Amino acid sequence: MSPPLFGPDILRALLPFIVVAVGATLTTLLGAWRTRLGLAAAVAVLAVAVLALRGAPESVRAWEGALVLDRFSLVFMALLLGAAFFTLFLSEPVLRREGRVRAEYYGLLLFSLSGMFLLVSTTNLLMIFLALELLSIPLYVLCGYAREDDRSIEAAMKYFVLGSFSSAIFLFGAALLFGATGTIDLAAMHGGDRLLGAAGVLLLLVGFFFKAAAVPFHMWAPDVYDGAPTPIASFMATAVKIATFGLLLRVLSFAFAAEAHPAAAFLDREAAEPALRWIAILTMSVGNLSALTQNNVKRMLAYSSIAHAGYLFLGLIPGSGAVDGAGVTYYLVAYLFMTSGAFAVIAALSAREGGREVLTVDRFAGVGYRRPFLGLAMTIFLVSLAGIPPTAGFFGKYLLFRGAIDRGLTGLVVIAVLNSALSLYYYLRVVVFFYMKETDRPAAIDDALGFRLAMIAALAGVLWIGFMPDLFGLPGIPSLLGWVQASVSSLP
Amino acid sequence: MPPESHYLMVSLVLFLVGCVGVLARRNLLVVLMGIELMLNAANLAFAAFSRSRLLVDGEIVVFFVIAVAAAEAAVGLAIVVALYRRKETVNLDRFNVLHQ
Repeated sequence: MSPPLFGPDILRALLPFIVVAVGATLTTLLGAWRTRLGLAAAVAVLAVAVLALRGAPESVRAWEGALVLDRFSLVFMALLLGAAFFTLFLSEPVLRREGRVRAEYYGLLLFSLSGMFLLVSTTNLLMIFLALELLSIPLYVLCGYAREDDRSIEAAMKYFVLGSFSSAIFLFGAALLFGATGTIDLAAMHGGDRLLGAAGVLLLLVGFFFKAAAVPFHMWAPDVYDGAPTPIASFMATAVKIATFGLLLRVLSFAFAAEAHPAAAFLDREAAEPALRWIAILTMSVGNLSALTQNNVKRMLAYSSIAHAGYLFLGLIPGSGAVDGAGVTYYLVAYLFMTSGAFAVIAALSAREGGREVLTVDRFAGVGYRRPFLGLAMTIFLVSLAGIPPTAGFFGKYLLFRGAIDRGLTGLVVIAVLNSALSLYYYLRVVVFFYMKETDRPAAIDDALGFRLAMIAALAGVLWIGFMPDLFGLPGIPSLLGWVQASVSSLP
Repeated sequence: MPPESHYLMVSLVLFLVGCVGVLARRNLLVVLMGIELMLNAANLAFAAFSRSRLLVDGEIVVFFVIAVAAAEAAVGLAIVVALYRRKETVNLDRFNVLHQ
């Protein structure tokens, strides 16, 4: 008997998506009517979305996998909401400072968020394509939001060209996969034509790797992060990464669970594993080595986010076991806090001079003394990004690396640890400038409330996970690790 | 009706032409056309597979892709206009302020 096409359960499962998509429309309309209402509407939409997530059912699968709401998608949607809140905090002061408070900004941000929601809750190739585009198209616009700025519009152009190029590659892969198997639901695919299927999967993954900025498909990321407005760069470094890794986790866990699920055998494990290993090694090494030579702190953070994607890839390699969903998700939680925090500090320091941002590291000399809290916060975020205890970054790495060793990937872990040691240099270099150098042209510091709130929230997350790695392990509140492990139990 | 493999060949050629257009040409408008070609190559493959297998899924996908391609082209052309206003050219190599 086929499942019902519609019912109260499906309606409740759809509610989070409806709230964000309809909310995006309303936010745009309200913002067009009264510009000030844009931010209030966006916050209200996110708050309602939180409620809708809490009331959502935990196992709904409808319409050939076009809607899959399980604990995994709920956890990722919660993370995405967190990233969106951080971006809102950063956006308001930056827009105000630059005199760019316009109606469409918050609406576009929410549309992009609705695309990410869809991306982490589907196994249907058509839905994945739609979600990818819904995520990307508003971001192309947002990258070029400071349109009088050559850098911003150039970032929009580069992101647009490579983003739509990768979407087209993905779509062609999806077409080949459909031809090979006769279905567009990844979870329902049977063997079928091997050559066609293998070519399809290859193109599919290339499309995803572009979005995740994995080496060798990363060339766009530093330029785009650098040119885009800082809150948008933060949104791309956190939310887009979380959404793509959510999708990759789901797809690869289907693909690698082929023995348990013969229906999903469409990826040749012998061929895929070495490729993934190389991508992991290249992504972390190229990211870290390029970050070493950066003087521009925003570009340094862009390369650092590439390096972190490399560490995350460790969790996607099954080795002798299965894909490490819990490790990747836990790392993403830590990554969300530390990266949002670092970008909040950068946003506070990125006031324009003569129409352009000046973010070279020597301008930040002495910031640590002028603003002790900001200096301390940045130090903690950078130490966490480097993976030193007692911070969130350390426990994220610890879980990922230990999981990888358990699956027999010791060589990869050695490379990853060496990379982490390397990253210490460029992270601490910023701290050295904050506290130990002087300059006669100090950077302007913006003390807006939004930056402070974002820094405090990020700091709380980083330290809480750092001091109590089994976060929220208080009576009555489920632990973070338990929460993450329970969420990935719904993957194959 | 010609066999499925003929359609697949045509769509593969279209896809490669589009790819070369994106990677090798420096005019942003030509790059945009290349991307459209790649999307339409996928559409052709979807429709052909759908038809030869008597499934409707692929044909539904085509409708969605056409709509999305239109939205993407709208944003892409807006970016082209914004670029042209700044430098009176749409040659990609002239936009190079973002580097090391």
